Amino acid sequence: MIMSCTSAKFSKRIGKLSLILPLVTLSLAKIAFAESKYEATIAESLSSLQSANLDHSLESLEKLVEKHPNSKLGHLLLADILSARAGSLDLVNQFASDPGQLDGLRDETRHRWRSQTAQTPAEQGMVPANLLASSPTQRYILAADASESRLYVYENLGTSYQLVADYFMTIGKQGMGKNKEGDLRTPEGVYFVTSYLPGEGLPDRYGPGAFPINYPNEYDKKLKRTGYGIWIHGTESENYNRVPLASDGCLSLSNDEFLEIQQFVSTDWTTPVIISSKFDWVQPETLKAAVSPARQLIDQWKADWESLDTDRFVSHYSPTHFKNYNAFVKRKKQVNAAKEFIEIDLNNLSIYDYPGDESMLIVSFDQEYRSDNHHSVTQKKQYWMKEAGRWQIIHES
Amino acid sequence: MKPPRFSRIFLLIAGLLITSQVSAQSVESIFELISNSDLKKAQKALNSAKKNTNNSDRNGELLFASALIADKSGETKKAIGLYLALIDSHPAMLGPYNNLAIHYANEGDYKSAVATLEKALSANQAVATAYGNLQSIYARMASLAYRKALNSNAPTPPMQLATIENSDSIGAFSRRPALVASAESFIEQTLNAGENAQAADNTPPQNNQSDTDVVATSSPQNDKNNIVVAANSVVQKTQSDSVTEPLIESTTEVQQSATAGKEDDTNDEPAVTVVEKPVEVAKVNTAPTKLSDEAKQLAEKNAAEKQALINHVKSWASAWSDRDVDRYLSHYSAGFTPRNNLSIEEWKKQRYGRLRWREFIIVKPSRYRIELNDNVATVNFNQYYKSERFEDTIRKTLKLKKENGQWRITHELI
Repeated sequence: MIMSCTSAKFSKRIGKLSLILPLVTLSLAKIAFAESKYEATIAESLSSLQSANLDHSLESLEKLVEKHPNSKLGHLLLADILSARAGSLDLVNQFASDPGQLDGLRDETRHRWRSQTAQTPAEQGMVPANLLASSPTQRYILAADASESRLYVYENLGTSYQLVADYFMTIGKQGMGKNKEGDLRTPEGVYFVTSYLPGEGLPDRYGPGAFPINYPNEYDKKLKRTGYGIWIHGTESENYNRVPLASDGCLSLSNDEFLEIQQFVSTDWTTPVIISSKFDWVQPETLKAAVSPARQLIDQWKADWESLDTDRFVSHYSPTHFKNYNAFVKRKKQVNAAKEFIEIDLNNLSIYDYPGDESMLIVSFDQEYRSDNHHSVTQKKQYWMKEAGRWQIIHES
Repeated sequence: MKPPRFSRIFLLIAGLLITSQVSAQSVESIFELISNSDLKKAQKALNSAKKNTNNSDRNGELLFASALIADKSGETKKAIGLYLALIDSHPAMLGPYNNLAIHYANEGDYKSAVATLEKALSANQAVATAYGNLQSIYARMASLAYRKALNSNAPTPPMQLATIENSDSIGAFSRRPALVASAESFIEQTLNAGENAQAADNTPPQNNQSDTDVVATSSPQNDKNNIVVAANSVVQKTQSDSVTEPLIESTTEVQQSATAGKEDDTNDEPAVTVVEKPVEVAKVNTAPTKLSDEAKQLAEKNAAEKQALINHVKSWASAWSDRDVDRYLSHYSAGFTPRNNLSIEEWKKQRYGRLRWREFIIVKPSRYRIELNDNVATVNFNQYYKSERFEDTIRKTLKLKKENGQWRITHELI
């Protein structure tokens, strides 16, 4: 359950002033904040800094670290301003033992600043292109964009999605693309929250609790990816949150925000977690237009199955990727030969475009199967892959 | 006729009085007129003030007024010339450097602007010292914040603060005798009030160290608990001061017990850390402090109370180290406020898990800093923590309250 952990060293150089100088060159596009929010306070003090209002910046940072004494970022910004006042800008070098520490905090600042001040695609109403269709049982979808260190929460409104919250998040020390156990990477893919682990039984570093997700999923296993115990969890008590790359592969939130996402998460495999290196953001209309070709694939597969034309039906399966393809074809032919009719009903359909380089869809539904001699209801998951211009099922369970 | 003669003398005297009064006022009023941008009147007043021989010792100020009028009228070249002349003739005057630097800066000549301001600081030792001290304190504050930000145990650079001991450097700038006098009498009154209270106890002076600075926060009778002993701050420590003695004893013990463990010896905190508010230190350059028996008792009581607080923290750490949850929790007040908005029940449950989960825990507190205020106290210390999973040293703050004669933790902060 607990992942092996080796600390990653980053060897970028430490600048003189750790944060202020790179930041004041950024442009200030928008400021909107609720005063109570941690990130908003950080952004507020940064924009005060940018307009050379050091007093105000100091004041809001002092309040912040008083409220959150474990805010490393708050203390760092405070220290930067004080050291500027002290006229000793190189003071930071006496305390930064590991250069990666500062880089991490710098990246965190950049990400937080951007999401508070820039007009992000999400705020413009755009949606990750992965969200093709969600089942009514999936009320919320978590969408994690590693490039922005951001976890978005979308509400499923049936035929559209509504952004309800978004949070700064931490991923693995070595970034994305989990491949094997102990590589300190976060997997890219579509996963589901499987359960909840309360914090009482966990080491401090997981914070108030954890939501495990189903890495490795069927596709990961097919690729022989190893590792386990990828969770969404909180933060150890000595930090308010971690810097962008600082977990063993999990998604880590501040404890305040971990407690907040609990209201959006179900632990019965109905909360999809889409983790991407970088989302392709599209307008909702573009997204809607992309849904019908995907639906047609499923409808055609269903129609061909009902037609009892086994050749047409098995043509939806990839001879190269589908496990035991020949045995599968043989069995289907035997079964279908004895049937007079097959009726398929699909309910709770969800279709997600799988993040990553592959052209792949992950489709899940409840299937009601009726034939002259059989009746069953099963939950089915399919991985459709596009190869040589053709969509075929590479895995089904 | 005699009456007219008498009246003539009277008028003469009255006239002289009025003239001198006008001229004395006029130097001040020139600056007022300038700041109101009433430049014509200012120039007039300046011209008449120049004619008055009474003002001969105020040439510098009059020249500065000329420069300001030129500056404000847009005669930049003249103004700059006058500022330069003033810097030459009155190097201790800060205005000319400052205003000249503004011109340089506005022209984009930042190097000259900075050099001029630096020169202003070096020309006036008192300001330079105050500015240097300010920077040192900022540097210390920055260092402490960096340590928190970066989990660092690196020593903070020493805070080198300098005292101002030259009264000339201050006197040169006091142009308001009335105000100075009233401030002086206010301070005197404040001090006497403390002294009178002590005199009532008929206690003879404990010591007499006229050469040593005795340091107290604000005034002696004000904060009996806040007696400052700061090793590397503004003050020289009194050798046998009866106030500090018992406190030093109690903390020496703390120091020894702290160094007995395997604690870090980064000596960045003041060696003797009782109550430390160096920023609030007021330097009183007068007679030594006389202490009543009552005050001595109080000091002893405080020392004992501080020892009790340290014992409580030690006992808390030992219960934690033993993973004895019930004993550990018994150190907390029923009104303890957990962090992260947890309820006390949730927190207890969490702590129970956290302590029991570990195979072993070692918690060692050291380097205490205690602020005591009757029944509430804040104890700040280095907390070394080690378990099979994790090891670190952080600065921990516990707020405690005395409940039924026992110290109990009400807040726990990092």
